[in-house]
Amino acid sequence: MTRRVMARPRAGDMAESRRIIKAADVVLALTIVAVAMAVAAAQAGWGIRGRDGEARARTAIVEVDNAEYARIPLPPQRGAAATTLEISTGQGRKALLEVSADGRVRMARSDCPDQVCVRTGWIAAPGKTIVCLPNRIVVRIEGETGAGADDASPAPDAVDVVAY
Amino acid sequence: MAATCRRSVRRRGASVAAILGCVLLGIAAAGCGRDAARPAVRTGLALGTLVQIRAYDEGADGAVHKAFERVQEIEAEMSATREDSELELVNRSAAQLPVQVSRDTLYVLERALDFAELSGGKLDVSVGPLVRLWGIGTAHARVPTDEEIELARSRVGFRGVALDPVARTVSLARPGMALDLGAIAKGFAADEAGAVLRKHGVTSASIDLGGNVLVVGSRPDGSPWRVGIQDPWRPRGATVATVVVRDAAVVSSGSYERYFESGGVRYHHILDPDTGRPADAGVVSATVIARKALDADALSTIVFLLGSANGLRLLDELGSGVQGIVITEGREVIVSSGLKDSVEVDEGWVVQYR
Repeated sequence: MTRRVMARPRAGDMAESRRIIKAADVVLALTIVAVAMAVAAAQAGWGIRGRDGEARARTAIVEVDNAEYARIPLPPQRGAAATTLEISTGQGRKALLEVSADGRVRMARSDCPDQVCVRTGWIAAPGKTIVCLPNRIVVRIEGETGAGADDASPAPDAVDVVAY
Repeated sequence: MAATCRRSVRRRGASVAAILGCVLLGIAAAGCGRDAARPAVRTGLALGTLVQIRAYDEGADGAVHKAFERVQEIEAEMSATREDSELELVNRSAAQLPVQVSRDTLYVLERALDFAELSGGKLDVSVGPLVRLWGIGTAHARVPTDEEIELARSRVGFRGVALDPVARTVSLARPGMALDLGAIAKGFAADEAGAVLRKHGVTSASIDLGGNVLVVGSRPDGSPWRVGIQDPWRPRGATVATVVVRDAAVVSSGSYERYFESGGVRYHHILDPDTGRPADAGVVSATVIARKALDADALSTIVFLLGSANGLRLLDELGSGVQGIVITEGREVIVSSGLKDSVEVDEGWVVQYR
């Protein structure tokens, strides 16, 4: 294509009209392609890796009584130690959320009668939840998705949702 | 492209436009792909369970929030634990004056009475006194005495529930009667949430009300949804089988989900009004696949109560695409023959089609 474009026009009265694509057009087209590729790369790369090349950016969202209570970026800053979040509900109930240094969360303690939330253990993948029905607390992981995550574009034979 | 462009100088602009168009289209396509993989999600607690609504259409955030609000509206009407729900008002007014209720509650009660009739009283919407007595799923669950069970049983009986569709009222004939919509309200809420999503043009969504699943349309790529059936003996998320469906409800009733243990015996939450005790028909899990989640919800409980043979026969007689999967105490998986082409059973399970 380039050769044909850059070829000198044959002599003749149609010369001007045969010179179909000028060098400037090619420059324009290449510029557009370059910009497009940069945009695509940004979309694909930055969202998933984060600026410092860390694993996918995720957030733990804590909801109490269906209202957002806290938002914890995962994983925490590099070199950070494990942290905890004390949750106290409007009904005076208490629970303790633990965030590991590598960006997993679990309900370490809860004053609920059934302890279902504590027994759920650690969660990390987007779409995963810890639920405490008695204290009306939901912890869910949101974020960029990858293979194996609940919110990811489904693999052809992956289960989308489980009836129980 | 060059061949096209060669024809005329005037086409030069067109060729550049075409390149530009292709490139923009490429970006747009890449962008759409990412959006499709990131659904609009609304998660929350309602009707005593975790509600998760995911819609994969672009710009569906408003729709999923409206769908969740609809579920909360239904909770306010039908909750068995909220003292101010319409249902509790009806229960407090037993053997007194009729109580006016919303259209939603009246509709759900009408359907509940249909299913009571259909199941010969096995699924009885007036099972409230027994549910309260056992308290399964609450902090005060306990095994009642025989006398207590007999007293509660004497207060159960769906024929004592009178509906007036014109005045939109409900009345309970005898003192101590109480309605419980635990086997049907979540199904209705899933249907209504699905209706809200469809009204807003959503074509690809999944609604999960504590394991009661309704899928809208198909997956974002157009293939059918894959809904797993929980393995009763393994942790949440482990499956026995997968059903491959579009626009369908998949609801399971099982003894593995809500129960308490006392004296080494496990007491689950699906009570048989004939005995006043947890149902004992050899079923560990009964799943029903139907168009409507309300039907699937009620029928899965009925199949659990009736047992695999009678339960699946009932589904067969109903027709209209209602299908079932029963997992027995003997670890058999019994599947309606109509499901043969849309169910994949995991390896290691003995399957029978009926």
